[in-house]
Amino acid sequence: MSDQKAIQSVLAVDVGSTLTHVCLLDVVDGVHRFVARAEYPSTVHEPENDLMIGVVRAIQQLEQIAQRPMLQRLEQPVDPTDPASVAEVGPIQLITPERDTGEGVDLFVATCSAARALRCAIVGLTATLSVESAQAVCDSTNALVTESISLSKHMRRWDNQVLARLREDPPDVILMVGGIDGGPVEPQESAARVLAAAYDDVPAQRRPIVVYAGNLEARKAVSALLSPLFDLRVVDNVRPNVYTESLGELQRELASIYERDKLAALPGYERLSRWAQAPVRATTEAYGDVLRYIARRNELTQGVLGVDVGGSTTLIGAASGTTYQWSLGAALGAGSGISRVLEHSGIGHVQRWIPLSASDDEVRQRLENARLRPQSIPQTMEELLTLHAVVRQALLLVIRAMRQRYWSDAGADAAAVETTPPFDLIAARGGAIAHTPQEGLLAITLLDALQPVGLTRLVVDWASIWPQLGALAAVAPMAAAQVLERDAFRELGTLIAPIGEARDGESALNLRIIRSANGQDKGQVTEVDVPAGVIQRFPLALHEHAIIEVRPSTQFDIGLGRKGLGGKAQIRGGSLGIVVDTRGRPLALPQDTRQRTKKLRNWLENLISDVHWPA
Amino acid sequence: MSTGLLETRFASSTQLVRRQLLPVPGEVLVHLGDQVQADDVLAEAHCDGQLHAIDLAAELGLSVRALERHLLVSAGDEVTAGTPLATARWPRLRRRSALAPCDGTVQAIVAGQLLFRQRPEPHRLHAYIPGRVLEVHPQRGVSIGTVAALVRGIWGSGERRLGPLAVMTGAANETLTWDKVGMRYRGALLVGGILDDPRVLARAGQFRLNGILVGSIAASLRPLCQQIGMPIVVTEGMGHIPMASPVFELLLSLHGRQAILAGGGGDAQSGPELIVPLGGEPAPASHALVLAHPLTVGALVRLTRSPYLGMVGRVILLPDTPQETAIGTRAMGAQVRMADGRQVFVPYVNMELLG
Repeated sequence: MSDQKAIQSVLAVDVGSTLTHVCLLDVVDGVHRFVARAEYPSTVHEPENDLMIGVVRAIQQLEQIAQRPMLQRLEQPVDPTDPASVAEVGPIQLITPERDTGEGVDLFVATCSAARALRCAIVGLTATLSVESAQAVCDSTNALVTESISLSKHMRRWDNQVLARLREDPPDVILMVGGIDGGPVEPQESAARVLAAAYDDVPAQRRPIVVYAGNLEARKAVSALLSPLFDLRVVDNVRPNVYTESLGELQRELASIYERDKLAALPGYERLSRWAQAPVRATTEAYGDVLRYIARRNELTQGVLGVDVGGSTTLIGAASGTTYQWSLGAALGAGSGISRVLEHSGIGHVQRWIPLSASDDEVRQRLENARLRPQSIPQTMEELLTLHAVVRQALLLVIRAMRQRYWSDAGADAAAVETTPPFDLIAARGGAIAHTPQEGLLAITLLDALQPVGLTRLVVDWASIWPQLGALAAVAPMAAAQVLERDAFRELGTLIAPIGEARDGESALNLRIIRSANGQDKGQVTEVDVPAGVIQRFPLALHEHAIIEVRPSTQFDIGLGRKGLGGKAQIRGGSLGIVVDTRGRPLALPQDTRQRTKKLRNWLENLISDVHWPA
Repeated sequence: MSTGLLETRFASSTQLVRRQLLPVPGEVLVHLGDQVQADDVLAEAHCDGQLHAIDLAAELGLSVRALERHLLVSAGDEVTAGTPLATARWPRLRRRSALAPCDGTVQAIVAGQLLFRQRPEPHRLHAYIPGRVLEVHPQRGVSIGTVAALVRGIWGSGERRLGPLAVMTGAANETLTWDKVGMRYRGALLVGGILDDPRVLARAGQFRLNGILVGSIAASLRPLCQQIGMPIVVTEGMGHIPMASPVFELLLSLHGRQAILAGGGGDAQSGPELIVPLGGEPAPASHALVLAHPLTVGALVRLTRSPYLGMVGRVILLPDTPQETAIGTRAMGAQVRMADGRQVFVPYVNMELLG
């Protein structure tokens, strides 16, 4: 497949925990374009226990939509009404390369995020410092902490129940941390001895991977004790001294374990790898590559903020120049991840975003039923608004981790910790995003959760294709770039979000919109005063350009670093046009339920002209 | 033709295959083609004994360093219950000893703690499902095939238990009440429409019932169900949703039959389900854990999202292209006629096949 010229048609698959997405790309007028897409509930877990069943069924749907055969049966045709023959995937094969008759595809690439989060046990010396650092790494990767064991001098005794749990239901990874470089070796050595004894009689395939990220001096002793028994990985000490944290290497190691060990162990993964003509990538990694590409290609000085709200994980990544920062909320999502969102936030924090009157029990019941069938989609406004409340809360939890880790200084005040730095572009994706037809609802969900500031473009992965393009870029970078630039974005519009506080109704900013003379509005100029505390939209059609002049009041900063300082910029339109959000940062919702509901409804109605509110 | 494939959620009679596997490698005691009964032992293994951490230094009031002089055992020693592991004598005090809690092996002595492994215990794998051995998985277990009625649940808790089916409500939308749960149902699997009273669970535990199958439960009862131990299986969802009428009618017809209720816990590979063996010879070719059927016009489907949650309808049209739902989402799906005559478009992902 090194001969890129030969590649015309591409089938790109993403196997998620809830849905499997397939996209067909092909050459149209000399460039690669998006042709069609389909999705099917993933079949990774019981009762199917084979991800290829979902992949094949999704491709079968795509065949029907695109009117193009891509699969073939190796055996004689069977009776389609025979259920056993339909359930079997074994004899089905992908037709590749594409035949002269138009059947099949030249290239098959795949990404996957369907594995459950890594289950980690942290073994450290004290409950603070190193253990907190290890916990922070787990919070930002696809890892859930199942045990946190502190072996300080007074607690050196290992608890029988903890040992029983570690043996009976071994975690995927034991994360050993603790001790500053050059500190005493004995505590780490003792912990290693206990672990060796605990797993001595446990079959090798059930033993966890041990990652050592503690005192440098103890590496040799720990390695001598553990490497004969465990798959031992040694990375930088997360706390080389009391004042320094070094988390990068551990974060990369956990991501690599997830990709190489957890994903690769999925039932059907091996066959998926055989079908794919390039290595199957972890969805988060491939999506990260796409964000980096977007930031570099468009020379975005403030970078791109990407969000991916999946069924069981929520990822936020920020790419700017050569830097890529990311945080992943394991088991936080809009499908099976609903329970963890509720666990972390409480029903009240989810309910506050729903602009309808409903009791806690009603909301909980609605969410429980959505969680039980994570592949199902809302069919009423109540359900859609409830789902978006969960999406907001999942994003809030993850962006808070991003702010704490990357964007706030030690000792920063609460407001600073609640503020997102300015980005040129917000790129959102995920099942809940792609299945929301109301752009206004999408926009307000992103604004409420991410609270962006300054001037930002909003785009959405409408076809659920970005990660697959990241995987395709490794084999056919030109094809990936062509599709990304022409077909992969649903442009919502441009956001203006000043930071500041004023009483509702007081002037927040003056906006002058000078539409392009070449566009359909032929140079029309609009000038408006926007009051504080509102969201308003001003039409600027897709593919139209305009110059905007923004003059904020003395209480607002439009991201230029000083209140009252105005500016001018050239912007692009979108389905929503220009959205001005003067609600201030951090966003404060009224405590009173009736007032809050009224405000939420007003904000939404300003973005969606025809909301059908349930009775 | 549509390519919509939906897995079977319910069947009055179907070929089933269920894998029964040991948690660790062991010995398989049955052979390919054997007919097995629910109580038969299929395979046996020795499971790891529990690991005890005994803080000898603290128990004997010694420092970690001093403990070494008082130890009576060393790593690798096999001891019986009550054997002294270490002993210390203090002036004017009686001798104090730390004893082995059970039969086992001294695994290691680390920083004043003795790690002691209990002797491995035998684990017996029972068939639970009567049927024929269709496949032997060496050292792990077997796949059993049977002909049975099947009801798959959407939520469940607890492991697998056997018992006679006892339908407790007269209709699919009736609530199980605590006053009907008594001693006469000991060992039975209760069936009802809706469960919203914690007293039903309390009485079920008190009278040692073997499980409960209902259409829906109040969401607030979920944690209690997870604590109670016996399998609880829900077919429709959370709230006050009646059991789908075809499912309820099937269960009524099977009242009194011996059944297996699995809550989906333990090593279950097929999720929460009720299996009622019907006898008869399973087809040897059918090895799939779950069967998917192409959706056809006339199929009976259960609708799984509001505003149709819990309703049952018949497929009347299968459009070839994605259609729009009431809130504007485009999705592949089917036109369904409800019992009240309404015709609605429902995405495939919002329906389940009943037959």
